Amino acid sequence: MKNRKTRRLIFTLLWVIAFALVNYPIGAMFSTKLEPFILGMPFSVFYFWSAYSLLILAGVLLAWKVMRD
Amino acid sequence: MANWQITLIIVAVYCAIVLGVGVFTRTKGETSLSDYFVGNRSLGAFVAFFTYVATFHSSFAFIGAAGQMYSGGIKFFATFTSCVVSPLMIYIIGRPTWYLGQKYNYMTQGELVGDYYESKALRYLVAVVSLIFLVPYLQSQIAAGGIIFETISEGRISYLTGCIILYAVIIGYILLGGFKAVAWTDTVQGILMIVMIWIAGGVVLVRTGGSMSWTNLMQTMATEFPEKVMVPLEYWPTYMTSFISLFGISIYPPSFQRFFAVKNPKTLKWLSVTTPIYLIFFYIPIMMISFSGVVYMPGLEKADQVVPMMLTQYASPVLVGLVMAGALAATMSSTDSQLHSASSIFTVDIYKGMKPEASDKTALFNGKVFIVVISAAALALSVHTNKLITTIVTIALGGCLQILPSLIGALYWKGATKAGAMGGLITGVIVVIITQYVPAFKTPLGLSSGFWGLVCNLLVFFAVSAFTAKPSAENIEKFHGYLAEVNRQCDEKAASN
Repeated sequence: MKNRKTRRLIFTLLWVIAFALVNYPIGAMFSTKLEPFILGMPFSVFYFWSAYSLLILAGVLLAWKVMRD
Repeated sequence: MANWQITLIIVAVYCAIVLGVGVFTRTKGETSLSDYFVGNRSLGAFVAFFTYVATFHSSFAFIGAAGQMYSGGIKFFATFTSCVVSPLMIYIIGRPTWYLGQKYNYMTQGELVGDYYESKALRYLVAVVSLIFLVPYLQSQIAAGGIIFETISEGRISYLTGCIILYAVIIGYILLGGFKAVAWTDTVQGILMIVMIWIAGGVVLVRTGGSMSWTNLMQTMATEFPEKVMVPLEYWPTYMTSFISLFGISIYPPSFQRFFAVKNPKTLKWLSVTTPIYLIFFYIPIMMISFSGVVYMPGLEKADQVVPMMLTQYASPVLVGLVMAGALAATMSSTDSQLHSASSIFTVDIYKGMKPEASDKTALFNGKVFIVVISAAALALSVHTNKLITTIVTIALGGCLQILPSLIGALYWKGATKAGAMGGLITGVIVVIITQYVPAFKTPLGLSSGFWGLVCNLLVFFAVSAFTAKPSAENIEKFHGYLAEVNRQCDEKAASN
């Protein structure tokens, strides 16, 4: 049971960190930055696509490791 | 043959196909309420996935999202947060709802909430609030359908006629097949939407300017329209809170109904984390089209028209037809779910609530008549609006979000009371309307009306619940006791593996 609680805490924390990437203040730091261009995109656009992809991944891990059923 | 004729033929073939799905999925012989409204609770993972994403992704995705990206650039990414976070409610609210629906045969939110708080008045109130906020969303979908028909026929089919054609097709397959028709047409539509929007995005990118590549497009955006590839600091309060309002998407009756319809709770768990993949993946080509529109078709009077206009300008008539069929699919997949859900609310919560002795056959007949009536009401309203589709959608979702606290009581919090739930819901709805429509109070601090409604709703809900009588101990045990037992069994099973 303790093991399950620790696992729940770790994966929930991971999700919260990913969520923080698309929110103020971390998201705001990168949302007005145009250089460098990555994969042809201004940094701000690239940043958001990457951060949201990470957030989705964190959600999948949360379901796999923590959620019941 | 003229381009618009080719496009219309393709759209007509698509409409015939979805009507065919309605015929194919209809139940032979007598249909029960459970069969017609929740598909006998037998929805598998594949169909559940597509019916959920297609219901979630309405014309808002094809038309409204592109319009917003065209006019506001990446500020629209705030919607991504809701696309990723809101589906978690499928698990948080959907899982216990599924267990209770399975055990006590619920088919609507009103039935569940009314039963928990032992209040018919609350059941009717939830039903009426759901219906009131379903209409603006329906209206927005039908408006989008009208715009699509008007654009692809180059004005030969009027906006109103377009709306009527769309309704006729949708009502046709819903009346034929009920929930199964809705779910299966959603599946066809969900696949068509994602395939077509990617083809459209690619074609627009290649055709605009010939040699114009993704990199060049983005560099042009950064140098000539830098405000569209940045999120300004003053926009962050809105950016960070808009997803709360969009939690309403999971409370929204058409989405909520799917919680009762799936075969098992595991489906809901995976839906809650995999639907964002489809949703986010959908917006990449939308960004390609709308940013190309910013560069090559600046100053459009109606931003919502950027997708049809860009395609008509840069794609072949066959492709325009196929993509517009995809856009119609997006519109129809939400409209059908809304109409079907409105019918279930009317039939199960209101009609059966007032006439519990009525047979399933009579109740279903009335439910089907109601589909036609509410369609006509939404159609009448859609003639009188020219607002951005996104704005209408936000109000509708924010309104439905107000049902959330009463659900929290039924599913998670034993301290909730009937008076608290009713007081909170009424307060929330009034605040949504005031902060949306009264100029002096319009969206304070730039935060959505749904957000303000929810804050006031929760305050009243908790405050009133602290001083009023709880539901009976037997009823609390019926809900919370049962859910606690389910969780205990799940944990034991997980521990033994």
